[in-house]
Amino acid sequence: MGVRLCDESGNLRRFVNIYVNEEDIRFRQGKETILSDGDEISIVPAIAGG
Amino acid sequence: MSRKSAVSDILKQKIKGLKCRECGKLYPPVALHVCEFCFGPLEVDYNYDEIRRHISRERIENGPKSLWRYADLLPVEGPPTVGLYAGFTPLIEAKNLGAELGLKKLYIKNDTVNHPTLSFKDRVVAIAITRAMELGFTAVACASTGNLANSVAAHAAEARLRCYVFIPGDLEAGKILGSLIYAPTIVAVEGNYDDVNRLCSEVAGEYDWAFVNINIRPYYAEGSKTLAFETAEQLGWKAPDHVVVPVASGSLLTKIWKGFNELKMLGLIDRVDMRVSGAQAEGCAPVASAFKEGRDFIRPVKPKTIAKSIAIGNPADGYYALKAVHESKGAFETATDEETVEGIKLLARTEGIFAETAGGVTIAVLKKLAQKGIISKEETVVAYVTGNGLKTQEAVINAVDEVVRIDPSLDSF
Ligand SMILES: Cc1ncc(COP(=O)(O)O)c(C=O)c1O
Ligand SMILES: [Zn+2]
Repeated sequence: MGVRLCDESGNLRRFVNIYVNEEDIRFRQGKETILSDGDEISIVPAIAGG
Repeated sequence: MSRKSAVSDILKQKIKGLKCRECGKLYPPVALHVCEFCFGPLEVDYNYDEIRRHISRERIENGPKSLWRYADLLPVEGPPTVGLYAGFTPLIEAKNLGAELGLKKLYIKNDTVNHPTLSFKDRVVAIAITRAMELGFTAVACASTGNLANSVAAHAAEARLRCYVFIPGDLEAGKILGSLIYAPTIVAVEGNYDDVNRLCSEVAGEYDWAFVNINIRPYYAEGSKTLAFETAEQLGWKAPDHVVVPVASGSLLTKIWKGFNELKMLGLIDRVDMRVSGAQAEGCAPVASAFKEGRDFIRPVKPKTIAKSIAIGNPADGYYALKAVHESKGAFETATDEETVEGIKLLARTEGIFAETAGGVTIAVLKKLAQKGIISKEETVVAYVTGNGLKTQEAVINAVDEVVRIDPSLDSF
């Protein structure tokens, strides 16, 4: 899973969105976001407009 | 025009498959949108050698008066099954607006009158649903800021497909009614478009539906190229010097840029010396702010704007839209809510065109670019006005004069 989500330098790939309890981690602490027990995580590819 | 004769001889071999835009991995041309290896978006991979052998200006000019005249460059295998009349909207020489803005050769591409639901989404949906039917789907769906929902619902009715549309809970009345009338299942989600999107990408994994902007996205997005094709043809097979395009997910802008370049690659126009500028609402400008701050990544925002149709805080194609603007040496500008309303009124007052909020943003940004000298006087400029004002009446209802009420007598006049 790691290689799919992150590039060679360990950064999250451009088109991956990660949500913790339905909040984009970029509105929290990004990769450093601290998880607690029971947190629900979803990994969602970017989708087009509407 | 009968269904079968709409496009006489569509190339069978024009689609090779799908290709990851990031890592180049190849996939068959099915309902798939993300690279399973790197999460990059998939794009249609055309057999340009084959297309080049057939395509010509004459062949296009002899085609139907709809976007299907460009079928050679659209990702469907057979003749269209829905949306036969989409596209081929007027390119209007905007002399009055041009005079006010000090632009000598200004044109408006008027997609407020697209058939059947009065926005550019009728283009992408004509392609998406035709392709979805080729792939055997019997149900279609979308996540939408309003216009896409209207178009998917209308085309699903025409094609007799089951239809599910997901919208944010706070859309304008006209946008909601404009979907409800076609009797799809409408789900209003408590949240913004980005919440709707996230939910839908999870729903899409569970149901065997053609989500036009999720699993059908590679085909859907190609429909926006027809705005470039038509503009070039309507200008006498030339690219303009500058185009101004509204940006939400960034797909439209990216594909307009691709469309002009495709015409050049195939020798249908001589050159593309064109700058592409993007228009966003100030209250939702993740791509414009990346441009202004010189970032190459998009930081998502929480939208707060009256321009709800373009209120996408986490734009999937933002990165590519940014890249297209850089490549073409264009710019980004934003419009406040007040400027958006003024933009709508300005276009209506000068050209007699009633645009929705996205059009207001585009006109406001056009004005700023002209004032700043980023667009110069002599340039041939095309502004893309992509949706109809009757759908977003709330935006201007308090910004127009009242009617003069009188008794039916000459005395009272
Ligand atoms: C009227 C209108 N214009 C422009 C856009 C922007 O398109 P995109 O999401 O492809 O950037 C949309 C919808 O998203 C729209 O409804
Ligand atoms: Zn890939």
